[in-house]
Amino acid sequence: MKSHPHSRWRDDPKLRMAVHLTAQLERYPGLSTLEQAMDRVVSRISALQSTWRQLQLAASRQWTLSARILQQRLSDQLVDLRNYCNHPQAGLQESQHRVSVKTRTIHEELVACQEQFNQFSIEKAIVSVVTDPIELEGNNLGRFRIEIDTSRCSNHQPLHGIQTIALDPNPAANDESITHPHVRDDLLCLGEASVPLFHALEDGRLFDAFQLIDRMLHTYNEGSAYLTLEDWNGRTCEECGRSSSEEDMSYCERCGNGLCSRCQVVCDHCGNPYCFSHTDELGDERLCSRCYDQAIEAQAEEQEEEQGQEQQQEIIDDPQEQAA
Amino acid sequence: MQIFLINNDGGGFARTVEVAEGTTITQLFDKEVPGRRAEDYLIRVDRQPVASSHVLTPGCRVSITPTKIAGAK
Repeated sequence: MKSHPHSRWRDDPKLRMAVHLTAQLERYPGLSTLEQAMDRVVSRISALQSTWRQLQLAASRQWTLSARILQQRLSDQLVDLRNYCNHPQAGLQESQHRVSVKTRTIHEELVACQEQFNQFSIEKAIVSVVTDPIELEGNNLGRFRIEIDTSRCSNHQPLHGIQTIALDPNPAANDESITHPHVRDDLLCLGEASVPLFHALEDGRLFDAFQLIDRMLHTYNEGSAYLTLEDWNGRTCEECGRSSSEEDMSYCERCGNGLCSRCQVVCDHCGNPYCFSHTDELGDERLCSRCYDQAIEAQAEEQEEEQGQEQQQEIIDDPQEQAA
Repeated sequence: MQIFLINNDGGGFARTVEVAEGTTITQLFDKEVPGRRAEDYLIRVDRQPVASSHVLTPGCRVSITPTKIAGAK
């Protein structure tokens, strides 16, 4: 007996999802992708301005370490802005070619996801797949389940419906919320994939979306990680080689080396941390080079003044001088 | 003939493009992503991997995705 088409629809979750997603995406035919892109550009410019102000303040107060960190942040934000700035231009050229969403196409997307990814599943509005075990520079981070909440695809924030959940977590030693250099609290920071991922979800191209996220999880961007792989198992003190938490670490103001609380030497005058080799003893104090030089100079001036006073006193006390 | 192209390197827009009959996937890649190596990309036709000599057919769906995509923080 031939099955009724309606029962086929009920039996195939991929078909149900395709119909549901088509209806969602077609409900908002006039999404202004250019407007959204410009909102992102403006917000990133605001962030850049804020970082620039902080850097200027740090530099004016000679907070060397803070200035260094802020400079790196500024560089990362400029790269991020460049990626976003590509989008409005492409939007002007491409929006007229936008292809309408079709149920059959979305169904084909879901079939491809099931065939080419592991553990494909559909649970209500959430479509998910599981990656292969991810290894980055010798660190085994395990498998990740990528979840896309398709109910978010039709609004202006489809990227907010993405989660990357560690199934075999090997988180950073000092922060369990970081399970991957670019994943914190199960949220992947999308970087270069933001724009193509946005368009993929807007078009219902779930296979492309999963592929983009999978590739990101397999890529290590050392310059813009929540935590670098070098520090994945804790920060290393450059003096003693022991591993310490981030809170316990300080950095030599002279050379930038990381120091644990036991190895750092705090200058008795300026109070900044230094490696032992970048400090000198003066009396019962331990000083950095700058404070040491200043202290020596001050001592020399003091001695000169004392000598001058002594000489004057000698002249005053000299009987011949008195007679004269 | 017309094909459907998705270039995920950059904007990630999907669009229809006109290509000559007999165009191979490699020829299309070299035109759309000039100066780059194909081995640095996942190239799919109708969501399946194909040989570099694969000849495109009318209405086929081509996607080009970098193998390395930098995340952020």
